Amino acid sequence: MKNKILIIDNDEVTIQVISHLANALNLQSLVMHNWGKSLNFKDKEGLLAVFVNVELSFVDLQILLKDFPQNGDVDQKDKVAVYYLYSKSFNRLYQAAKKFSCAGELKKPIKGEALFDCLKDLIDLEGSIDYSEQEYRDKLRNYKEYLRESLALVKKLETYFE
Amino acid sequence: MNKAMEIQLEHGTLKLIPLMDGKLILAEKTNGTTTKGEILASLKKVGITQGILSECITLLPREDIQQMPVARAYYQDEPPKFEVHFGPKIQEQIIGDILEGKSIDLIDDRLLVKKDFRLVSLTKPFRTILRFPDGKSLEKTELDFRNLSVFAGTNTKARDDAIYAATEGSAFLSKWGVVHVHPVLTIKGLGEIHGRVDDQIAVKVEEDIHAHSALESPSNIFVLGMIHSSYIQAAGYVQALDGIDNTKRSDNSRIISGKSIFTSYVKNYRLIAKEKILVYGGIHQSIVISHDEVISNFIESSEIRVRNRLLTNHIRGNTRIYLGAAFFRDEAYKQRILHNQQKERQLSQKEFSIEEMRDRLEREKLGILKYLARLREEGKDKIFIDSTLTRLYNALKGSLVKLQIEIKDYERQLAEYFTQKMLLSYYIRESSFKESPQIRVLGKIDAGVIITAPNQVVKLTNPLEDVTIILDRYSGKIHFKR
Repeated sequence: MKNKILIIDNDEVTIQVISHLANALNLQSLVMHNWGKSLNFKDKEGLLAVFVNVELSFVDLQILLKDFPQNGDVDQKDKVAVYYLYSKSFNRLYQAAKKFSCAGELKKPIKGEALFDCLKDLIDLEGSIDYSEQEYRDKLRNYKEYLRESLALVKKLETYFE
Repeated sequence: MNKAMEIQLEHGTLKLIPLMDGKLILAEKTNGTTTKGEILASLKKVGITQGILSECITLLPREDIQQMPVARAYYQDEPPKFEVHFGPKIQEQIIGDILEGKSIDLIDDRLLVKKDFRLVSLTKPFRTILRFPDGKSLEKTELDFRNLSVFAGTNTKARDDAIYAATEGSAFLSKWGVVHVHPVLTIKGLGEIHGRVDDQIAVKVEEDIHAHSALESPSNIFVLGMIHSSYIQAAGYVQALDGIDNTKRSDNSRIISGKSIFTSYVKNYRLIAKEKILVYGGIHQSIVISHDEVISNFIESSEIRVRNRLLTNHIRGNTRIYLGAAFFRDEAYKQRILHNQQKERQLSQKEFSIEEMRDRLEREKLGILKYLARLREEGKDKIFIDSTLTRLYNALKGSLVKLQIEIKDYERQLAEYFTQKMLLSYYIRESSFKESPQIRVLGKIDAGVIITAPNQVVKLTNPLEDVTIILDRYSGKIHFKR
């Protein structure tokens, strides 16, 4: 299930605003301060969106977009929406970033409403509502399921010793 | 809350923006500065009381942060609703009788139940509700468990959709929704000579409780005579037909009830009740604390702390009244909240430990499977006597047993946590009072009476007649209505 967002920025205020709104929508946020080269990003499968500050010189946008392609030929299911964050519209790096396609742009200071507009189409809003009791029940069910599977394996192994 | 609104703060303006049909509330500082306390107070003022995001509210006063989510809706397991088949019903008729000074009959027979008596029946099952930040709630689904044992207390048993008495005795339903039955001990009188009485019984005293007695009961206490200068504590109801009087002026004289107190008059005493205090005579020179209502024929030179409503004919002398929830400390409630927070921490520690065990088990599984594959490759036929395989198998089995114990313990702790949470939800639901706290005086209220509200103290300079004094919960101030 996709329930994570990635923030690539070094501005603490932006990180706080995005991560708290994501948290209110039951999303986890991961924060990175640079994206210089292609990383073997482990949590890519759970990612819903990437918010990247395109004004950072140490973020290589081309490499990032190679990892998270935005053009139409990517399967919609695997697509991770990339949003640009910027503060000055005349910034050279921002102007350069505009050449590449992205899911949207957010001007700093980030407004919660604008951010919500980006996320609302990506998530199941009803499903994003917190229900702690159900989460506990699901966890217990998973544990029991795992235990059942493990016991079945041990039983299977037992046959070797008979 | 479906529309954006602006709230005027002391040094600025706060704009509230609802998203997802009011399920998520954003707050924006449109100008000026504010503090966390001021934001919380202003949210309360407009009715945003549920799903508060404290961490975000802490950040919002910062100069560099303009907008933050402040509250969100959440799902919750809602406790069931019951029909209670015993106990006194405080209806308009009884209230009218008290105000007319008519005596209240002994309520013990209404609390007395036989074995297998149906104490409570389920009227609305366990269900999931969606609670909005503005307090509104929406019922979603019925939960698939109907076990009422959570609410079955001492000497009771849950069966089907009801709870039954397992023994004959005196019953009461606690504020947490748990129903108890205790056998009744009838005694002639009680005095200092009996020492401290604190057995697991309901008590009926046929005459007086004399001065310097100490009586504690996990159930109800009925006194057909008077209570003199004694310490009385009951988890259920307390009734003293002939009155409550601290004749010896003992400092230790007090009556604490987990339910309601019924009596004819109170003098020089300290009374504390989780529910109502009903006095058909008058309250004289006493300290009376009720977490719900005080209904008395008249009040004279006393201190009254009442959470929801004070109803009386006359208020005389130097009486002081504290109105509203702000003057109450609910230690039991706080304790349960703390207990639940502790349980949450324990559960998360347990989850961490289970995850670690799972990782180890996965490694062991992989190890044994790899080793088996190697043995096969090597073409060994009698693999059951291979010592390494036996060791790996035993280690895996041992880890699995440990994990099984840990998951069982997690399940037990989780059940305990859910029980406490359910009782807390019941308590919150039953304690909430929709109307504004008020003092209703049908006759005269003397000059000199002091009324204290959370943000206002009023000393009456002129007597008033037939007046209602209403507390505005949000401003913490009172207004008079004739």
